[in-house]
Amino acid sequence: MSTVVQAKNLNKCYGDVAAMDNISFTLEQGSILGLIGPNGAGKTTTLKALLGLTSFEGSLDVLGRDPRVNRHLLMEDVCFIADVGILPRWLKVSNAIDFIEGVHPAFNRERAEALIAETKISPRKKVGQLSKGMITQLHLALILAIDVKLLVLDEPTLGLDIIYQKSFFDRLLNDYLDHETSIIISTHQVEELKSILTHLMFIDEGRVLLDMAMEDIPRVYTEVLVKPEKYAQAIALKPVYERNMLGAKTFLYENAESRQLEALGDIHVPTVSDLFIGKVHQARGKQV
Amino acid sequence: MKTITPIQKQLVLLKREFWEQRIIFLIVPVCCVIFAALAWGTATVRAWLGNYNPVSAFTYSIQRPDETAADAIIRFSEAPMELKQQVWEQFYSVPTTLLFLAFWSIMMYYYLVALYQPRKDRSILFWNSMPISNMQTVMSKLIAGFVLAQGVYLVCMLALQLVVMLVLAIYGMGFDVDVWGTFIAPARIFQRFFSFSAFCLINIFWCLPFYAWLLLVSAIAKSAPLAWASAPLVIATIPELIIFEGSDIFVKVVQHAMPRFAIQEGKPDTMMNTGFLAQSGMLMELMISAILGIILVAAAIRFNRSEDL
Repeated sequence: MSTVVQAKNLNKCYGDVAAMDNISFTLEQGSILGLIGPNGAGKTTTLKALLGLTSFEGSLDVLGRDPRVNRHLLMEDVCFIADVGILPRWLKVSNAIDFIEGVHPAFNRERAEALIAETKISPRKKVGQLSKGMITQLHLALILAIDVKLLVLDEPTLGLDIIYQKSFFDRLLNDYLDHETSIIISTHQVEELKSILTHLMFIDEGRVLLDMAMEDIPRVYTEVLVKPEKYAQAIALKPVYERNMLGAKTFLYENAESRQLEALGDIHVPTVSDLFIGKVHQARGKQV
Repeated sequence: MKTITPIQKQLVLLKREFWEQRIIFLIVPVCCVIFAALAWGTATVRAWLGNYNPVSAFTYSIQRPDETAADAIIRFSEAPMELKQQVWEQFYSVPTTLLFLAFWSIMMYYYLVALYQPRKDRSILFWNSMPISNMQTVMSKLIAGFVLAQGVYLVCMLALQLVVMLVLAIYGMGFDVDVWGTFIAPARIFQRFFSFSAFCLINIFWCLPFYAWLLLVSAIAKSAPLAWASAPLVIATIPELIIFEGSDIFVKVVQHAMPRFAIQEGKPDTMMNTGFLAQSGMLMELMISAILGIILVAAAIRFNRSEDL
């Protein structure tokens, strides 16, 4: 299995604010990485760095290329959807299809037309005449019709209704994934995505808080529901995070012995959301 | 995976410019032609009604004060061919010059926003998600303006002149004159078209530094590209005006902002005249323009920002 992304010590600042603070990670072929972080955490900057759309310091290799050099060659193997509608308003749907077909060697016109046919989008309409959700649908349909090695999605379902969100994730799972294409997806809808993710990365204030295979999470992280009488014991085991829950507390532990935890109460694997909140709390050193 | 050659890609990029700037590339020139054709058509109808002479209205008055329009046209038809050619040269140069002044003015706007607008509306993220290089993008803007748009205006100019010639020929049939020898042959529509087209090619190099500068500003300005484009000129011109009570810099920039033929004073056959290239220093200035323009285009390619504003 080959390496698709190799990032080492990526740094970028906007004034005094660090958008990337020594970010390092690796992505293998066929992996689906969920990039999770609060607003302004540096997710979009990291994704833009991968695509050569922003300047940065550090070493970055995407599919054997430095994105800062000959970015257009890299884009033959990489596709990208930004976090906001970026399709120009004057562009007709049919023109968009013609355009991508004319410049992208991996574009499948029939597939794009079939995907658009499943929506209410008319090929004669201009992007400016479509609703926000339809623009996202159109962009997703165009991008999903491109056969690439790396797909970068920055909040791809923002503005979509629940039905299309579900449909998108189903399509991504059933039609797109072939174990050769790698995907990096930044989203807040972590619970809906967790079933398709192979890797998880948390990022906050430009720093990586967690970078782990999904299958390793149950082994490393455990949540325990503790009754008040055992709070002292639970705190003695140095939890990452604690939160109140219906007269009890839930404690999140990292690399703790399950035998000790079982003695405290009911144990379970934390949800991605709870794990994220716990890691952010740990990194910031305060209650979230 | 199919293969797409750089030329195929460039053609698609040119199509994109046409889709985006349909007003510049199609609607404005066609409207200009329709407006002018309607004006001339109206003039002809009025002439048939006996109260208007389109020939005298649009030329350096071939009609003398003491003669009727019919007498003037008959006298004009008997004039030497060279004189008739000069009169038609003048006659057709007015709408042509106006059409091309409109074209070059629109081009100033086009090049100023060509690379700025996609960053402003964030569509640059979409364009940059495609396998298109900066060079291909910038070259498509240059070619779209200088070649595609100019070609459209040239064709519109030809269409306009043909319509006018046809109208005048129909008008001339009402008189006892040789219509071909008076209204059609001396107009030299196609000869003038090819000559003019060749002139346009020279003008590309003449105007390149000015428009490449606009393109460069469009590529790097974070806001107000017009202000950034004008600032160096203002900064250079004001001290020159104060010290020398005149500005060669300003004059030179204006000269290169417009095609050479449009601002050249002199004989009526200016449009057909390529002799100015032989004038002292003119060829050298043209070459310097071309080199400076190419440098500025290279800078626009190099500094075209990938980031949205």
